[in-house]
Amino acid sequence: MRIEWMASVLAVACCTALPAYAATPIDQTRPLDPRGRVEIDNLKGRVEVRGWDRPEVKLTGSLGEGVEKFVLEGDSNALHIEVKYPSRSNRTEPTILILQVPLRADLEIDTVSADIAVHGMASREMSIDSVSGDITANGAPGRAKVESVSGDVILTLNSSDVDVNTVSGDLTLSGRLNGEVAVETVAGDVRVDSKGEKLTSFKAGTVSGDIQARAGLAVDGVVKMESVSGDLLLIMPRDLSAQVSGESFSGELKAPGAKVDREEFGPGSSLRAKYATGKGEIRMESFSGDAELRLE
Amino acid sequence: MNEEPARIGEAELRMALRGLRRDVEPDRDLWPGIAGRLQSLPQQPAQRVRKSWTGWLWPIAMSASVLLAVGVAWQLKPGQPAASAVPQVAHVSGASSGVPLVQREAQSMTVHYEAALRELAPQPVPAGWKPGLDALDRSAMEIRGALQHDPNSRLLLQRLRDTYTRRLALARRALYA
Repeated sequence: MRIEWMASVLAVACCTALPAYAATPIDQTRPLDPRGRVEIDNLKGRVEVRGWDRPEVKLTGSLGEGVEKFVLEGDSNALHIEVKYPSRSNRTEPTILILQVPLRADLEIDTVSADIAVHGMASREMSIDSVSGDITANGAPGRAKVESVSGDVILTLNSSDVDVNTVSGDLTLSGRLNGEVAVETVAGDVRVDSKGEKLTSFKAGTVSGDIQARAGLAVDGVVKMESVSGDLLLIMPRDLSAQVSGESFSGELKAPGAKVDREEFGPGSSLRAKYATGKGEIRMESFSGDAELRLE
Repeated sequence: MNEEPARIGEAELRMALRGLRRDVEPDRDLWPGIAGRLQSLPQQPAQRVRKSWTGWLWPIAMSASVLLAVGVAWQLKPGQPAASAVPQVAHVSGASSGVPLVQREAQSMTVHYEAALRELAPQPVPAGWKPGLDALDRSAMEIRGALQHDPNSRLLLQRLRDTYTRRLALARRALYA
């Protein structure tokens, strides 16, 4: 009985340990200029990047079973890391890449179904692209461009130029955003919070996802929000100075103190309002989604 | 010896063939014999030969996508008079029968889009791509439905263009993933 019990425990242990043995550990270090560039391409699994103050890249993690080729090439100006999977095999395991990178280095990450996590990077340019993996990033990039299809995106960034695109994944973007922000979604919900900073440009578009943005508007700043059926909510400070216009085919329009004009016959409504000296410009347009400006 | 051509690269093969290229005139007119054999073959309606998608699909999808992106972006260029920017699309029904301009554009765009998508759609798509593709399909349908209610909406046309472009780009990308 005791032998049988030990045999079954051993069998279970062997089964759970197999994937670990199947994966190949990675442990590589390469020099990289503090303002160099790192490109990472991993089909599935996970990519984790942390900024550090050393002029080198340290790469650890594990290559999934069935990986065709692992590429680590380049020089101290730019490094390219790529995990190549065979094109016609479904029996491949995910690859985990964990990198420590000079915090000012530019970063480009491309994945398909790999989750991506970026911490503490202050790249001049940061580009992240995934199809179904989730993306989490925090840092202070000069410019950030993030694209996702069905994965959720959570970004905490201090930046003056952020551009995020999703299809059905939800997006949460917050941080000291003080320049241009553009967010596009199809069916995912979007939340933006500039943490009291004033934007010079904010563009937001959606088909059916809801968009809620809380931000200040710089002098001469421009906001443009568009939706088909998703609801738009823009929350601005009470000292807002802007000309506001809204149009909707069948959605409800709302802005403090603004009179909504409705078509006498048939659908369609619009509003116009001026706050303070009207320095900035805010335009909201929808087909059936509601659009509201709120001052808090 | 027979395996030699398979081992050399395409560039080397081209160079080798270029070296071999030489025009040789036949010693007699061969066409009467060829024509005779063609006549004796059973006559069949011309059929479209379906080649491997990897070779020709890219340009088709690419051109459709570019047509959508460039054509409509040009048409929607701010400050440009709409009437002067409308490409004449003869094959779209209603082009001259009072259908509003925006809806006509949407119909034309949909024709091109669906043609491109038909070429891409039969290929299997990895499961991870499906939620995004489905969301785009639902959105396209929603926007087309909205255009029935508001056929002059540039907002809807722009959204439809964006949705089609993203759908094609994603489908294409899925093929090469």
